[in-house]
Amino acid sequence: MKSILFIVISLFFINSPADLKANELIISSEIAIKHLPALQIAHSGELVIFKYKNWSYTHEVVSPENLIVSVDLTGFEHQFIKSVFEKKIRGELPNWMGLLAEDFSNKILNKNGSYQKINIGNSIVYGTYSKEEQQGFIFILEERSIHKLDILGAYKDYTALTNNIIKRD
Amino acid sequence: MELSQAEKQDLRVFLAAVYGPQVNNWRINASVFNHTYKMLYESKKCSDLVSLIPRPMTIGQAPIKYISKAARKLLLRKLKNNKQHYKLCVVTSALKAKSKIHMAAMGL
Repeated sequence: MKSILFIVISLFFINSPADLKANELIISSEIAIKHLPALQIAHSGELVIFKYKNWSYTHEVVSPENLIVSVDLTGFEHQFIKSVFEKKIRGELPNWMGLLAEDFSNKILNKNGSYQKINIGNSIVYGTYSKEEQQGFIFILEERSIHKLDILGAYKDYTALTNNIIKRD
Repeated sequence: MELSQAEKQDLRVFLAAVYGPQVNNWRINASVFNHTYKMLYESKKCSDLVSLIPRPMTIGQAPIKYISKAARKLLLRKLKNNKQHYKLCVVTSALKAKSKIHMAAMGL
């Protein structure tokens, strides 16, 4: 009887915390994203897709050769992403690349050009959200790599994801 | 409203030029067409293509519902035959639409 009770109690403790615990998407040795378990996870090309009931987000490690169709940003990728958000940096880029950054900026930033910029450890995080399009973008710039998050959902989902980008212990 | 096999193939060839060979494993459907059309429309640089569709795009209305079959067929054929040209006019729009198109093609 004691052994049966032990097994039942063990199963309870093994199963219940796992169901409730938030998951982490570890994207590098320094950064992770805490999130609740997704309903579906898919992998398509460079994208990992996390789908929830009313929203979804994708993660990809930015490849400077493939981020922009037919353009190789190798060596300029960090400056390019920064300049999408910060106009003053565009002048440091070749003219054509500055125009490309401006074009992308006009597509993802709202009319006020507002964006968030935060530091997490040694990384810089840029984010922007469009209520009209219910879409947000987050770029995480680490020293040697860049991560892109694309959020399709409400503003609260975008902010929750932004707040759950954490520095790993 | 469903795309014909030839239309699906035309769209697949164009999207493969934009997003790479993984497109060969995609399920090309009406939702993929809708997102692709919105990408072309938003780029504002594929005006010769968008001018094939006289009616302005209405927010919330799926392009596949109001674009005539003949116009759709012509548009997709032009996209396929001039894929190298048209992929250059969607450079930043393609980046913005990437997740939506991938998800539509994965049936998500």
